[in-house]
Amino acid sequence: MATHYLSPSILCIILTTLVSIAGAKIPAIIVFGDSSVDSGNNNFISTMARANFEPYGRDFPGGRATGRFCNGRLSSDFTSEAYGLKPTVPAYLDPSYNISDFATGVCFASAGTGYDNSTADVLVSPPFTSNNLITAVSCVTRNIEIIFLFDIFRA
Amino acid sequence: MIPLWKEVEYFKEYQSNLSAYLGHRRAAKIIRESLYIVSIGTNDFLENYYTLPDRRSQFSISQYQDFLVEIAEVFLKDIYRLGARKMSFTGISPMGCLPLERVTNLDDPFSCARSYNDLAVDFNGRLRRLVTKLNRELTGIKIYFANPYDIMWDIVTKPNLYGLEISSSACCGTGLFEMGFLCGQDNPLTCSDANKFVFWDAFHPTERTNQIVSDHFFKHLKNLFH
Repeated sequence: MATHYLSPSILCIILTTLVSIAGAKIPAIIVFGDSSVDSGNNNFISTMARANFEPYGRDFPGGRATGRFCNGRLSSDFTSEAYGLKPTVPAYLDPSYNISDFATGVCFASAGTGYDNSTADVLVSPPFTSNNLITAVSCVTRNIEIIFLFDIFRA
Repeated sequence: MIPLWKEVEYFKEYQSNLSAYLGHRRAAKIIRESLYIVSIGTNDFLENYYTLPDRRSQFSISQYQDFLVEIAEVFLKDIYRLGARKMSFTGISPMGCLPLERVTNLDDPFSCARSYNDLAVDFNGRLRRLVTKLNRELTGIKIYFANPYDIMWDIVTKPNLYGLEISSSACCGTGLFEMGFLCGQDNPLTCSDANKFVFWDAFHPTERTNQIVSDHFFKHLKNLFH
């Protein structure tokens, strides 16, 4: 008569499988939105809304300025990690990632965008590279106003 | 900038790439079971409606909010049709307390701009009603309304409770107006420890704040979507 029992190693495999199935219920994090969750898409389009230079990213792994508008990671990155997925959600337009990376998380967000299509046009082009000079000038003007105000408050 | 409709186009492209990579069945399962995070809206008010004249000449602020909520509804239905079921849909934070909006608050310089905060509360109410409606209307959908207002208000007004120190100005530069390229200049005023700050630049939270907010929502998310 055959004896039925579960050897410790088989039990271990079953338990591991069960745990991995339970942990795999959220297979990926898929992100839409603006600079609050953009993990670097704007680096690859024509825009003034950029953050791929120092000191952005100085507390990010490797001190890299990824295009996130932050010193480190975004809330969407932390949510991904909390679900046992990658600690950072890769940007869809970043050519250094491919579909195997995106299978567990992908970000389509773009800094400066909004629900309203016209919001996405506000900061489109770098100054003087296209016919969006007016936008560029109004942006610079707003910054000058702000700096001016700051000087008044300090005076 | 990528308009929201284009983000949806990229999502469609992603779906066909994923199908080609994993096969249709496995790809469809990922699309169905994934958590969708949507976080957008502040720029419509601060960078568009209150900065440029066009929308203000076309809409009252109440009409503009309705206009945005309609777009949000179309967007959420679009990604639902494309297979999304589990969503964390983020509201608007107390945007009058962003350092940039404090500095430009002429009524009460350096204080939170109350009108922007009231607007955020109003808009969040409208988004919440949309979420309730869609949760009833669309079979199999579950949208969590991640309203960041209260937690962000708490962090801004009582940073010490969260291990933070400064909320009225940001780490980068003077902390009052720099973001993007203006933050990029080598500025000796930039703080050395961003973990003491609620805001990294004049418009965006630090990593530490992002983590606190994410932890706060995850307590709810892990019970809803697991």
